[in-house]
Amino acid sequence: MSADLHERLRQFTRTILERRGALVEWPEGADEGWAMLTPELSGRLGGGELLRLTHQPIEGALSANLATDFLERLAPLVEAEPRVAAVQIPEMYLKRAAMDEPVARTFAWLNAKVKVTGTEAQRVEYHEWTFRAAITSEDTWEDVITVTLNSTSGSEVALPDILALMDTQPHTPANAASDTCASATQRAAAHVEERAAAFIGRLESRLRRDRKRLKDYYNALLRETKEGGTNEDAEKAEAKRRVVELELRRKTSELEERYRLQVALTPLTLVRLEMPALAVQCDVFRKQARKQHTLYWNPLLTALEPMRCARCGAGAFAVAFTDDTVEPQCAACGR
Amino acid sequence: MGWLTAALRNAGGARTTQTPGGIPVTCTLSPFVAGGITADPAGLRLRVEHARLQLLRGFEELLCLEGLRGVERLPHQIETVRKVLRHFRGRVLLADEVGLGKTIEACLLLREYLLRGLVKRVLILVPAPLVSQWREELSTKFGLEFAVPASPKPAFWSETDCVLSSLALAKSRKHFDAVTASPWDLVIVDEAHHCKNRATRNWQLVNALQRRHLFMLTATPVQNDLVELYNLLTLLEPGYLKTEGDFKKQYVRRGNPRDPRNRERLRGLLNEVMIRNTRSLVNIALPPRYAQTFTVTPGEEEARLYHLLDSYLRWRCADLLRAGDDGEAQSDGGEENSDGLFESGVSPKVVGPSERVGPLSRMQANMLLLAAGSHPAALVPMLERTAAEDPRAAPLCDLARGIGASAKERKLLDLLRQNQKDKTLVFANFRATLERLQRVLAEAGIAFRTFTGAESAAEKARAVEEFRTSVPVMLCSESGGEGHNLQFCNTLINFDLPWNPMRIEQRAGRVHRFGQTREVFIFNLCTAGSLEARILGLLHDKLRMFELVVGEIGSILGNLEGGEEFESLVLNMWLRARDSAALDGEFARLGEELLQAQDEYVQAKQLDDALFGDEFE
Repeated sequence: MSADLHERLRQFTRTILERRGALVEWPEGADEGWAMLTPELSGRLGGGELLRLTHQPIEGALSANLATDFLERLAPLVEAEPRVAAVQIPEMYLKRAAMDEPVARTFAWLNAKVKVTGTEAQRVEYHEWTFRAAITSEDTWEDVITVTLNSTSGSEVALPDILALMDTQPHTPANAASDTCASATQRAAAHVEERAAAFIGRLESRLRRDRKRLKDYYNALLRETKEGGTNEDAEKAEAKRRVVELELRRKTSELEERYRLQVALTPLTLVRLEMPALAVQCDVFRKQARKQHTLYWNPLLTALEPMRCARCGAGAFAVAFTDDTVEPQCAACGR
Repeated sequence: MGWLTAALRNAGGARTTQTPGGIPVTCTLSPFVAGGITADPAGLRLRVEHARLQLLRGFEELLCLEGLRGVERLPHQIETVRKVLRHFRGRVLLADEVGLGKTIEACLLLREYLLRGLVKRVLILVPAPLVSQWREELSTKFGLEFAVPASPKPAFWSETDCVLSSLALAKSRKHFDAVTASPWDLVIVDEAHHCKNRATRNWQLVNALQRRHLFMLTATPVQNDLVELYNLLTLLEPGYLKTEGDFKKQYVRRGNPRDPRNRERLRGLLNEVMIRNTRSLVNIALPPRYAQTFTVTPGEEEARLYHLLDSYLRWRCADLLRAGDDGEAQSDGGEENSDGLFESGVSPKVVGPSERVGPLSRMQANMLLLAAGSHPAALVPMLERTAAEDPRAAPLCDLARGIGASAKERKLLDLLRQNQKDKTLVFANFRATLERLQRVLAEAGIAFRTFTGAESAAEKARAVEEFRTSVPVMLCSESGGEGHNLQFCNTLINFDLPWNPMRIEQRAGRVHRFGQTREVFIFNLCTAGSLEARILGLLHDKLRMFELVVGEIGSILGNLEGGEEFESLVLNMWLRARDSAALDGEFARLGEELLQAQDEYVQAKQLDDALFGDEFE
């Protein structure tokens, strides 16, 4: 293991044990340390009150090593941690100048006229969802995906890591439940498709190769059956042909089964961040129809956020609108 | 809309979603259970970090290495595991030379796949003589418990996740359909050269198995001609070497099916599906080992005990023999076989007709015969139990109890006195024998330690350390010394002998293993006329077992026809034979079979060495 990984594992061990009331003595760079555990913790982790912490796998110690059952042992402690956090940033500078020009510069309106009608400071909640994504097939692919949505507009925003933000304060959300899970999942799925594209591509080409190999092989066997049929009676040859065909079908379905993709998306955490944002009201004119939409200027990004495509949920700066309902669509969906 | 978004929308629906390249997709979305809300994001950070750390568990970090017991982690084995995980994606022919640890590699891979949750249902198919060896290694070294079917119901194959079966049982008409009807995540076939011929049920069984991953293990993938290799690889990847006709045209020289054409191209293709470590490649060599058998003549009372016990067991096993699976093995009945007892005057009158006492089970007969081969002291507790249900055994028990020093223990003392300079490991199968030897050595003033496997970890470590530094002798049970380096010792005495040659090999392996720098000496003790003497006659005199390369005995046993384990073969021979001459005949026949199996192995090895060379990688 690299020194970086050692340090990461040490910090993780230390933090999680301390959060459960243990006294941990494991200085940075040291190969091992000790933890004095609470009775509850020693019950969960096994062993006595004093737990030896090591990097190398050693019997009786908690070995912070990925080749051991370290992560499994700590999983129940992780499970006991909260999943939802709510924080706020009370004050932030909001742009005061007119928004016509920034809107025109940021967005490309593909089939409509858009007019800024006013601005208003609002408090907006942003939802940062973290998912664990796993694709299992003949091979496996895994990743951790983060999706942040403006809970009012539903558009995906590339905010900096909220968990790493300084100066946040506790926040009590007006509504305890969050309704952005479905949208966030949809966006996470889109990200998985992008990130796993090379992996899927490799699987597809391997499957094509294996399908072809099977087909060629069994077709050649069928040809041999036909060619060799002169000396055999027709019934025998026919029976042989049926066996080969049956086996091809069986092997092909086995192959398809082997390559079948099983995708698992697991939402891990939700951080709700409430902060000020500048709402920019716009009138959108599409043919005879007209509708009011709100854009958001984000003080953390110091930029306008994209609009949410009503069809695929992606964020869009090049926006087309539907004819009657004047709903925004990304360029791809609006084509 | 992308394929995954579509699959998400369709989750639980009847419609199948596919990737653009046509791979079917199933999607699972776990619900989010929010629980309480916190203002402190540290706990959430831990959750995310935990998930990210799980991602780092790529195949670089092998999970299978943790928690192994008594497994040497040789670099070529670890490298093989990594290679199979990364490049072979669970379908590989492991063709290491004998003795380099194909079984260890397969078990490491199996453990890795199980620990990562990549497989759940596993079927291991091995030749019958190797079943017990596999079961024990899986359990003791890898912590994996596999069910071994004896006469299973059809549902067993679909209801049991981890199955270790003999190839003979799985391919039998009774079980073939049930085994092939159940899907398996991983199938392991040991001594896979038994599947070299597509016309055999072995090949047809493996071909018909529904499996995601397949490991085939053999040191000799080609036994007679190259088409056998083609047949094996077709099981692994049908069509990989095209049709048999294409393969022959491309790679087999006309008129000589053992001589490959386009050798380099074939080797390139094999590299994709086969791994072969050779001794020269991994640079591993063991010093030679030498064995000597001492056959001692028992004293009068001891000889009488064995004779009477033999007669008694034949009498008690008469029904067992009739009910046995060997139709030819018919005995003439209990009365005649009990002659020894009557002649001896060992109070037959106190017992009623033999029908009142049921026959001994195979296991009981086996254990009594093994104990007799060990020491009269080992017989005493067993005969006491036997006498509790059949008083006719009581005199035997008294006789065994009354025997003082056995002939073997006198020889043992001689050997230990002659070999005072070197450390000596003494193996005995039975606790009672070990206790007796403890007394004998103590009385003779020979310092020793005992390692039975029942001690605590600290006691074991201390015993080994004292053996290494100050004590010349260590008394060991079968599991003795496991997990400890005993290469400082180079002399081993088999005070008694397990009937399974693999176990004998295992004992030798305690000192004759990687890290041993000196020649190893193995002394076998047996009593004249005993089953053990006959077994040693086969293994030592005929097969020259102790001169073989480590692991070769497994390959030879694997070549034995029939679906029986070696111990079972020995017991059946004893049951069939009515007297010593008949038993000699039985052993002579087995000897011929073993020699033939050895010939097959040697020929195949020579061919494979010529085909793949020393540097196949």
